[in-house]
Amino acid sequence: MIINSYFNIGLIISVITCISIFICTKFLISILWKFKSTVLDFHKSKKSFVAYPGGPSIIITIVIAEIVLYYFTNESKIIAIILTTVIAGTIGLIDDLKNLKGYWKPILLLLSPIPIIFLDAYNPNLVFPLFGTVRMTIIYPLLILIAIPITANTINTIDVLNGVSSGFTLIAAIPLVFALLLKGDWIMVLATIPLILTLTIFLYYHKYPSKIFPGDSGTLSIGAMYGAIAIIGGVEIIGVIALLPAILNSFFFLASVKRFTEHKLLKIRPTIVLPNGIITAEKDPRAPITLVRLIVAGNPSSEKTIINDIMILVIFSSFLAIIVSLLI
Amino acid sequence: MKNIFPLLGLVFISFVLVLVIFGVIFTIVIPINNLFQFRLGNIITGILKVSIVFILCMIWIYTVNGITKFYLDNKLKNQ
Repeated sequence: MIINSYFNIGLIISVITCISIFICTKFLISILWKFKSTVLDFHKSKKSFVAYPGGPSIIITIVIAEIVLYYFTNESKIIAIILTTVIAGTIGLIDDLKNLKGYWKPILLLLSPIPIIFLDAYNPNLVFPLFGTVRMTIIYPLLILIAIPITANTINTIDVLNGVSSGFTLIAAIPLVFALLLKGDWIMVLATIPLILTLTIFLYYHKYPSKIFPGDSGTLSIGAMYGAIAIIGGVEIIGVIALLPAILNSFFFLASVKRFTEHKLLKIRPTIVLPNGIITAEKDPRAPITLVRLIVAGNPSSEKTIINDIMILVIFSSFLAIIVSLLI
Repeated sequence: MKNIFPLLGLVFISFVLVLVIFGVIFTIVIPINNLFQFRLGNIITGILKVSIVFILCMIWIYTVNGITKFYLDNKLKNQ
């Protein structure tokens, strides 16, 4: 009986999410072109412009679907997810419109996890496979405060090629749902549906060759929502493992550049696009290390091949995350 | 596609390191209670805990960074 009602709620929010993201994205693309809000796609041999930012359609869809879910479930966890996503998305939107300095984004993103802490929507027990469980009543809220900016920035940093950020998060969300199903946390499974369906339909427009880019508003909102689901659902370790290739990408970048900065402000870019559209690694040792540079080092490749390689990496890390969820 | 297997290896190594190092930090180091009986023992235990966590994080950072730099230098030599 309970499962049947969860199934009905799931069906309603799935339909709402699909309709909303489809209409919003299609409408947004035409509006953005009308107002000439486009950016150059760096990795194409021919000059091509893409509508930008697609974040508002992602944020609107997630908010509508989660509000409907809150109406049926009355769970404060859902409000925490909505507020975290909206705060991160708004910071991203400001960055899309005004270009915030590199260090401002992580500082402002510290505001996004506050609803999770104030609504007490977390469980301070952290479960490690083989090591067991630990209860961290004091340290855990501090960890939440840095975890959401990390996930949001991680998804933001992996948004380098057509369809990568949406495809990456979509695949990485599968182990989260799997772990939540194993826990029997149906509310959080339902809360993840809007993220998965939004990304699936947005990917249709974002995939190679992109018709729209999510922008910082899109990547920060989906990254923050991913982090919020992992924390509130108590599947943090699964989330970290599934995101490992993106976390490594951010880590390589920060370790080589040694400061918070925007990709577009770099003097030496990590990769070079040849006139035939093939992407090759920059040989200059001062160039930042990124996942794409590692993929094309000694192996110049087309954009499509690199996208496929990144997808293989996230499928592998998601597979490892599923194994870990079975061990917990 | 040629570079995918070394990168899968890198993801796997960092996965093992994340599990082991963060498992040790969160389940063994952080829950340690006061190790000493004398006054200020709490502070010394705190400093010890922070130092161990710092060293373990550095081990993760230097291992992953070292492997990546070695891999990238080798690949760029052949490019």
